[in-house]
Amino acid sequence: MSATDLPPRPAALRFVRGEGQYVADVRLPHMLHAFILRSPEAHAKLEAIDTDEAASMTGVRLLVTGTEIAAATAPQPIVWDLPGQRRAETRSLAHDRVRYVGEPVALIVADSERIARRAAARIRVRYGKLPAVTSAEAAEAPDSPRLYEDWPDNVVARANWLVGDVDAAFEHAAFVTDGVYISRRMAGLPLEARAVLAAPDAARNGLTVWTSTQAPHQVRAAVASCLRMPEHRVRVIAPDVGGAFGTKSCVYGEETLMAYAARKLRRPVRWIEDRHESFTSSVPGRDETVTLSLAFDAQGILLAMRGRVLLNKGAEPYAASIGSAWTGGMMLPGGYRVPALAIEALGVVTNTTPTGAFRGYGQPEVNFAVESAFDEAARRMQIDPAELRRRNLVRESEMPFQSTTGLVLDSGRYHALLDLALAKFGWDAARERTARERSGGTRSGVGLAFYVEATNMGPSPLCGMVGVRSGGFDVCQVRVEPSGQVSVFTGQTPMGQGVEAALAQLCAEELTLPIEDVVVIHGDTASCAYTGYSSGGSRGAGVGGSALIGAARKVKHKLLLLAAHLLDANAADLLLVQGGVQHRDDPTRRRSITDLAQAAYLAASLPAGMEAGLDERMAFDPPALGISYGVALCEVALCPDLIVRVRRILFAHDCGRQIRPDIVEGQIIGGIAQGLGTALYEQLLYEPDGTPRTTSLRDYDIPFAADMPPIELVHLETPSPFFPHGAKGVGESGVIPIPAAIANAVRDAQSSGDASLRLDTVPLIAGLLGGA
Amino acid sequence: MRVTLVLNGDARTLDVDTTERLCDTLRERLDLTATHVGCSEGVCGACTILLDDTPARACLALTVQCDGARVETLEGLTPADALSPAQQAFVQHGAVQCGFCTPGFLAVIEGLRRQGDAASWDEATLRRELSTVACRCTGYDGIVRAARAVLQPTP
Repeated sequence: MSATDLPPRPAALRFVRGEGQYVADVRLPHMLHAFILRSPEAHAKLEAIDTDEAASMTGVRLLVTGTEIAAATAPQPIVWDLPGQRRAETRSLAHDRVRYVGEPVALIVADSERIARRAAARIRVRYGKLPAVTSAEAAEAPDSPRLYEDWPDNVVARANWLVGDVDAAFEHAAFVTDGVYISRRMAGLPLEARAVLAAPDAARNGLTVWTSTQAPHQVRAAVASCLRMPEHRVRVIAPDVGGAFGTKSCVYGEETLMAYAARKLRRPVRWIEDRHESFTSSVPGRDETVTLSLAFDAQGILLAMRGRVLLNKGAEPYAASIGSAWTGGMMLPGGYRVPALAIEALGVVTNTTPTGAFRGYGQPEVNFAVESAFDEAARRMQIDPAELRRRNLVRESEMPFQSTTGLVLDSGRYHALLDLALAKFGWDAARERTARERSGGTRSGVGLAFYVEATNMGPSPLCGMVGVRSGGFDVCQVRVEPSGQVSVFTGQTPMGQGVEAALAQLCAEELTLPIEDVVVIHGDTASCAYTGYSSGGSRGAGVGGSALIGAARKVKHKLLLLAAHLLDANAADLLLVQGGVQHRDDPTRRRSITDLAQAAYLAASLPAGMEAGLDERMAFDPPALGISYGVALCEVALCPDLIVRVRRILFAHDCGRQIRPDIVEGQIIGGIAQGLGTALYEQLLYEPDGTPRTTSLRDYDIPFAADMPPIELVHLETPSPFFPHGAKGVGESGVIPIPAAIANAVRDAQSSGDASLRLDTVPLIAGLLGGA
Repeated sequence: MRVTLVLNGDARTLDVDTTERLCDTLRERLDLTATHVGCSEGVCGACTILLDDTPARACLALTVQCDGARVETLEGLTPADALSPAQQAFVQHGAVQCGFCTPGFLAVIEGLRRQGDAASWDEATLRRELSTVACRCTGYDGIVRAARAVLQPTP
């Protein structure tokens, strides 16, 4: 089925008419507008705040500073709490001290945003400057400025993996690679910045909070905890979300602040983040340094790995903690057999905006390191880089395979996909052609990178083991309405990827209904069952879909029992076919789902012991992660000014069963675009004193249509044995291997001698501009 | 200050502040929320509307500057009971993910369609012309396919 034959996504039908409803589109009577005054200092004592003049301005309804918030609210929750992790009593407004430019210092609520901004300009804050530290390397040094005086150093947390005799392996190795690989800080940059609207909810003697988030139940828990309210008095709604990419996966202080203001003023209060603000107030990602050594024997078989993943956590340990470094550590072996390893992952605080999740979440960073190192080893051994990977990839016959860090590679045909990709790309011919071009003076080259992606995040025991303070399950409720159509209530939260369309399709398939008969309801804690983790970690279709299938099968079971009763038949002799249950030997003995739903709700003639209604739910907890995988191949040319022109990309991947191939394609190509940004030019820079240099979209390059190379996709579908539909996630695949594939291609292009572009740092433009 | 806009075909006289941006007039004053504001500095193009048939950034235009002009938003480009060919193409070709940039792209493509010289453009020209709006989700292939279907229909 080609993409154009699939039923249209209902959300797309709304969006093209301009009928999406994002938080900024929600209008409530008597709504007030908030502005947040933020610190212009990277590190300073908050010595005094004078709000008198601002507070007396006409139209200003509320002015709050950190002193009030510290007394009136509990600290922001820590969602990921690794063993030994350090604490910070972070609140939604700074008190006593600011630790990054952009940290909220005061909240102003007024009749209009304009008045609130004007009032903010009249607030006088006296800052007592402190020395600042912006890089993780500097923050690790013993004499570094310290952010939290009750910590012995700036380290948030660390984790280690030690398996086998690594020292011996390196001692006996025929080839050793050593490198330091840097992925700079970058912004997720959803086109809809963040937005929060909080309103009193008299009916529940509490609050309703609209927020652009990936995790409504986590926001509810955070708001309730910070405001010291029980969770049943807080309702959180994530309406349409205009992109997220991890930026909206954590809870934010602004959610607490708006809830606090709405409760205090007994009026709706809304805050719309502006773009300038978002560069310092929304969590960025990457900013990791991976130090990696590989030991190979003479045949190119990997013997051991030493790795260190250092994350610049920014100023606060909250939100995702050092999760991206931890994930990077766990994922360092990737799809390879690694007999021995020593890995350390850690995060340190600096006077920069706190980092959080961004698409890839540690995986592009370590992939860039490992795949760059593999290419270096291949060059030293003088073998084809694809062949070196072939010798070390886990074989299909070994699946499921427990990787050396404990990660289970659930399924996959790594060698088959690699060979398919090489053939489709014309790898050998392209290698020869670009070599000829190089002899002619054109610096062109080809590169590849193999990747694995950890998807279908869960399992709850894994989350618990590593300190993630939410279950990894998802809950889905399937309710057949009395008229015979279906409402699905999912814990997953669409953010543009279209997971609701995949869920509708799975439900339609299970219940043999037309897809028009299914509506998927999401993003509302008042109607959707509790899901701790919601959407992130590429789990929407995999985990959310599995929960849906479980619930739909319970509905199906009940339909069969009810039909057996009404048809006076044996349930074992009945089949669910085309929207009805019928006898397998006599299709005229049939009841449609509509008939059965009416019978279930009239409840006048039910089998003994059957509950009225037709409404089932399932909590699905994944038994393992689903490990998607693939390989990116690309061809580049280096212009005389060292600008990298990507001529083409072939992306081969396997995410198990593809429920909606159009959504998979959209995820892969969209991911590749962000991978190109990661590889080539996206970076958030700071001055040494902690002043951000990138606070405007004019200073932050993202790919536009003309910047994208031709992309060809190929795929295999190897179902995961751990999920009823065999589907794994694909949300982050596209982004993971692109930095390494491009860097490897540029190295190939520079192999004729002139190695003028440094390749140890992405974006590669960093090597062009030098330091900073 | 009093201004008159021909807004989606209807003359509207409004009393606006001289510093009011067109995007705020549309969104906050008139509840026309199809026009999205992504960056407020003219880079992302999410707020693109048609001003006298030409795509323009509603975040950079002051409403008073538009006095007497024809302003068309996605609300005005949307048929009552159906989808326009461009809207159909966006749905069909996977040009829509989160939907935030979609109104901007639809305005740009409608402007190009009225301008009328896109039929002979090669891929690079088409992509360059579409590079006034940023999409962070799709990687653009679907959007380019949809634009081609609208601007370069194959008989």
